[in-house]
Amino acid sequence: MFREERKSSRFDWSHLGDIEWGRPNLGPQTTVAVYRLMQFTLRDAIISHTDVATANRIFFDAGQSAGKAFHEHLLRNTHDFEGFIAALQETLRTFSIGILRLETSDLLKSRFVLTVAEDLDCSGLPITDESVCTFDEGFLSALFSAHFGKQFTARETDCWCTGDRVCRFEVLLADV
Amino acid sequence: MCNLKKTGNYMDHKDVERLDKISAHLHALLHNEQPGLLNLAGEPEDEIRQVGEFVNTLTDALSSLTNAAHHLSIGDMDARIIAKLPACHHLKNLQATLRHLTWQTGQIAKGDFSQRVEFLGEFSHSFNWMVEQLEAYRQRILGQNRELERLATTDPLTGVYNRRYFMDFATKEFLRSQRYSRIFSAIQMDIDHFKKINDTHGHSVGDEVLKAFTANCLEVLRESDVLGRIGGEEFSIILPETERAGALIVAERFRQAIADLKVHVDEQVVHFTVSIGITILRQDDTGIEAVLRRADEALYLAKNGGRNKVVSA
Ligand SMILES: [Zn+2]
Repeated sequence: MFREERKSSRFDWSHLGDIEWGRPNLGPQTTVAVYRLMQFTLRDAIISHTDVATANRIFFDAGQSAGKAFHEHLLRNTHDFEGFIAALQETLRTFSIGILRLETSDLLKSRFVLTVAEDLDCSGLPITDESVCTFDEGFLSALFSAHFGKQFTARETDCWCTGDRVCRFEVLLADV
Repeated sequence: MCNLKKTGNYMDHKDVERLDKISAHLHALLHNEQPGLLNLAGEPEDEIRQVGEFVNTLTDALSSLTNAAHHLSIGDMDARIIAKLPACHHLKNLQATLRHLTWQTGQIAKGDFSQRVEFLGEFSHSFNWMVEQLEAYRQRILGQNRELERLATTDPLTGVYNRRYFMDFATKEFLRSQRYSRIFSAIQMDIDHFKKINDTHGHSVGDEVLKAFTANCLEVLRESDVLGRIGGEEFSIILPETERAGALIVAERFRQAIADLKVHVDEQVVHFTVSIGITILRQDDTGIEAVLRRADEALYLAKNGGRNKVVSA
C-alpha cells in the first residue's frame, strides 16, 4: 500500500484511514503549523536530495492526486460552472483551506483567474519574492480538469510570498 | 527649502551641507514632487552612504505606493502593484477584493443571485442587501408573470383552459401528430338543457353546475389530456396518443359519472346529463378544424339521438 515501488500514482482515499475510529479522543482536527511543518520539511528534504525543479514537480503531481481525490470525495457534485465554483468555495472554507474568489471566468476561452486568500500553504510566510504554492497549482489543475473532463493546468502568478497578500492562479486548458 | 544652521561645534560646514541636501530631498518627497535620486555615494562615511540608500529605497517605495493608489482611485484594477511597503500589501488586498467584486457583479448581471460580498464592511451589507432585493423583485415578477399567464390561458369560473389556449394546444397537437405519424382523439361535450338549469335555478346554480362538471371531468382525465371551455356550456378535450377505443372508455366513464352526479346548491339538488361526440385524427384531415368539426357532428348526433349519449365519428 505505502511501500510498493511505482511509476504512477496509486493513491487511494482509503490511505487516509478511518480517522474517527483511529482518533476517538483527539478527533479529526490539527493545526496549520503542523500541516506546514510537514509540507516545508518535506520540501526541504526533497530539495536536499534532488533539486528545486524536482521538488516542484513532485509537489505539483502530489497536488494533482490530492485535487482529483478531493473532487471525487469531498466536493458536492454539480454540472454547471457556477455550481462548481460555489461548491469549491464552500468546501475550501469548511476545511479552512482558503478563501477562493474568482476574478475572471472565460468559459469560451477556458481561461480562469482566481485568488486564494488566507491560504493554508503560504499565507503569513516570510516574503521572499518566490511563489511556493506548487502543490496548490497541481490541486487546482486537477479540480478544473475533473470538472470539465479536459486537461487543465494552473499557474501561480502572485503569491503571499511574493508580497501579494493573496495567491493568484491562472487556470488554462492544457495544450496536450 | 529648509536651511540647517550649525547647531553645535561638532558639526562642520560639510555636515550642514549634507543635512541640507537630505532635508531638501525629504521636503520634496513630502510635497509630492519627484526628487530623483539622492546621491551620497561619494561620501567617505559608511553611515552617510547608508542613509542615502535608505532614503532612495523609501523614495522608490513611496513612488510605487502613489502609483498603486492612483490606479486604484481611477478603477484601473489591472495595474501591477509592486509591493515595497506594507501599505502596498493592503492595496493589493483591496485590488484583489475589487477584482472579485467586478467578477461577482458580472455574475449577478447574468442572473446568479447567490453572490455575496465579503470583507468590505458597510459596503458588503449594502451590496448584499441590493442583491437580495433584486432576487426578491425577480421572484415577484416571475410570480406575477405566471399569474398573468394563468389568467390569460384559463377560464376564470372553472379554472380549465380557455378557448384560445385550447385551440393553440389542439393545433400544436395536430401538427405534432401529423409530423411524427402519431394519433390523438378529440372530444366535444355539451351539457344537456343547460339553459333550462339557468332559467329554473338561476345563474349562480348554473355556475356551480359548470364547476362540478369540470371538476368531475378532470378526475377521469390524465395529466397529458387537455380540457378547454369553448363556449357557455361547451367543452372540448384533446387526448394525445389515444385511440378511439381509449377515448370511448373515457367518454363513457365521464358520461356515467355526470348522470350519477347530484349538485347541491343552497338546499337545491340539481341533476343533469352530458352529450358527447368523439373522433380521432384521420390521415386526410387538413387541419385541427376538420377534426373538431367531425367531433361536433358526432355531438350533434348524440343530441338528436336523445342526449346523455356518446357518439363516435
Ligand atoms: Zn501562494
